[in-house]
Order: sequence, then structure tokens, then C-alpha cells
Amino acid sequence: MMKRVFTALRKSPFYKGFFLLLPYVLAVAVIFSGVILVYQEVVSTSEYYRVFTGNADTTAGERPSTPPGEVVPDKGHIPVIPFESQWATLNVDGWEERDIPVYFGDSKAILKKGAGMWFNSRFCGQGGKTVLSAHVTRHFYEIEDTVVGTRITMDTVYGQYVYEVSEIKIFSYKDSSLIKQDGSQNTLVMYTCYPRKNGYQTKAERMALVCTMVSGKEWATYG
Amino acid sequence: MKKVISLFAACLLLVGMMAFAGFSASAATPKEDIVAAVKAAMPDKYEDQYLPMLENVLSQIDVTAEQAETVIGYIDTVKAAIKADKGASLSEYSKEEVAVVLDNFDKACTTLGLTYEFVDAEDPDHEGDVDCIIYLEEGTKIGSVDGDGVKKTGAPETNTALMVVFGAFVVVAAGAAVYGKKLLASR
Repeated sequence: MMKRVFTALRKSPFYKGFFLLLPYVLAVAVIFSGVILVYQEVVSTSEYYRVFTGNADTTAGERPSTPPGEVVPDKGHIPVIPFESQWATLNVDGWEERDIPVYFGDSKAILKKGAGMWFNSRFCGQGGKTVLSAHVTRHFYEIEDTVVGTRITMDTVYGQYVYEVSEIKIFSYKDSSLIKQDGSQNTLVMYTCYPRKNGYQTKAERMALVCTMVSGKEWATYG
Repeated sequence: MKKVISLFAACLLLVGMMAFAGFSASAATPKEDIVAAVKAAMPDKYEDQYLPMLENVLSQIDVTAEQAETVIGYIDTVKAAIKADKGASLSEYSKEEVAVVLDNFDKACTTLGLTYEFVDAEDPDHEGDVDCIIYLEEGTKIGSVDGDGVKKTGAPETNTALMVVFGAFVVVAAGAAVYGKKLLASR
């Protein structure tokens, strides 16, 4: 019975037409997927696109509206850096990837655009740990090729900071002890998924560059 | 039991969780007064871990001496309500203790002209993890407080899915093209 139905189906013009048209339909789908992929990887992450669509990053230094009452101005603090704005550009000696934008916050949307600074970390020069993460398939691809002693430059909106890689650590994605403040002073921690061939696995380990500040101005915190 | 460290961390931000030491306002600016009050209210082991969040919120707003005094009052209320450090997970505390923390956190935010919402964590490591998103009253986002910190830094998920679909299309298209050719040849 099934064999007869199948034979009849094979002889029908619809069956042949379907398989003749299928490559064209799939070719269109391939092109469509490719266009979306290019859009996501290249166009939407481009600064030109963000300017064109009016989503350009806000610049640091803009203060929110003042509440009623007497306000004592902050002295010796870094300028106000709005959440989710770009506040620095990162360069690592020897990396092909140059001028990596660094944002305040590390949401998925931010990590598509550049490196993100964890909200529970401090800015450069504030005396604690500055914690940056980025995708291994994008901006931090070359972390695995970095060696101890490599020079790292952070050009922030309030000055330049130079660091040197002092340690390279591998840690579990479940272990956040390395990125938490622990009393270490003026440290930059940059991490991404490890190894990079496992970058598509959600539970890959992480590799971190732990860097010590070589030069840069120090600023006050509220604590 | 749901582990909601991030919710706890968010609450630590403005009200302080544990009563260990007395506090008297003596720092130079209202923001420093608030930070000093929170530091005095929490055990040292939490201080380093959570204070940068608070400071990053404060850095984006202006605070008057009156506002600081009111907020410090809420911190004192929480200090009085929480009798002992039971760890960094909210689930370890009684319903009454949690209610006091959340109530005073809400009041502190209102005093400082902030609003907030708890949302499901973007990349939860534990079931039930939430992030606390903090806004200015007019809606500008000024912070996102999470409990775990280590982010997913492999390929962005949307692109991974697209590449899989892309690859599948290529394979099926190639197969269909070969089969279509065979059909044409058999005509």
C-alpha cells in the first residue's frame, strides 16, 4: 500500500517540481541568512551605523538632573560616566585587533559592540580591580596568544593608563572569585572563553589576563 | 531552593545587611556618608565585593545632605532588623528580614530619585537568578546589578544559531541540487 502511494507520488509532477524548485528556495534562504549574519557581525556593530540611526554613544561627563537641596560637588573623582556608554579604548601590544571600544556595563548587547566593564568593578585609577570581558570570537580572540609582560593601554575619557600582564589564569565559569574585589590595587582583569576552539560551548572555561598598572593618574572613590 | 545572590547583592547596595558596628555621619560629602554607613553596616568580607556597585550608582547621581541622612536612617533600620550574617543568599534569611530589606531598599531608592526593577538574569548560573536594573526617575538606566559576574563570552548565541541554520541550508541545498539534476537527467 505504502509502496504504491510512494510510487504514485514519485510520478506526480508536483514531486518533480518540488525537487527542481527546492535548490532555488534554499539558495535564497542561504543568501538571506548570509545577509542577516553580515548585518549582525559587521553593520550593526559599526560606529557609522550607530551614528546614522541616532544610537551613537553618549560621551562621558554629562551629569543627571540635580535634586532639590544643597549638593556638595565631588572633588578628585573621575568625570561622570553614564552607564552603557563607551569610556575607553583598549590596545594590547602584538594584537591584530586594535582600538577595542570599552563600555560601562557588560550586557549581551554591549558585548556585541566591544569589551564590557562589570558594574561591580572599579574604573582605571580608582584603586581596585577593573574587570573587562569580551567575546572570544570577536574582540578578545587573541587573549590565548598573549604572554606575561605584554603591555596594555587603556585610553579613557579621563586619561591614559598603561598596564603590564603579570599573570595568566584559567578559571571555571562558575567561579567569580578572580573578578571580585579582593583588596588588590589598580589591577586590570581581562577575560574571555577558553580555549577558543570551545568558544561555541556555553560552559567553556575562562582565561584571564591579570595586569598591573604601570602608569596613570589615581582618583578618589566614595569609600 | 532558588539561589538569588543577585537579589541579595542588589539589596546590599543601598541599605546594608548586617548590624555589626555603629555609624555616625562624619565623612566629607553626602555620598561618602552613605558609603561609610553601608561599610559600617556590613561585615568586611562583603565590603570589597559589593561596594563598587554602590559607588557606581552614586557616581551618576547628585545627593544632598538631607537625602543622605534619610537613606542612612533606612540603613539603620535594616541593621536593627538583621540579627546575624547568614551568608550571601537571600534564601537563608527569614521572610520578615527579607521584607524589611526590600521595603527599605525601595524607600532609599525613592529618596534618591531612583527607580528599579528585578528582571530574570540574562545569563543565569542558578535557577531563579535575577538582576536588579536601576534607573533615574526619568527612565535613564544607570546600573545593572548581578550576583554572579562571569559572563558568557563565547560566540553570541544569535550568531551561533544563524550559522547552524546557514550550514544546514547549504548542505540541504547541495543535496537537493544533486537530486534535482538526477531527476532532470532521468527525464
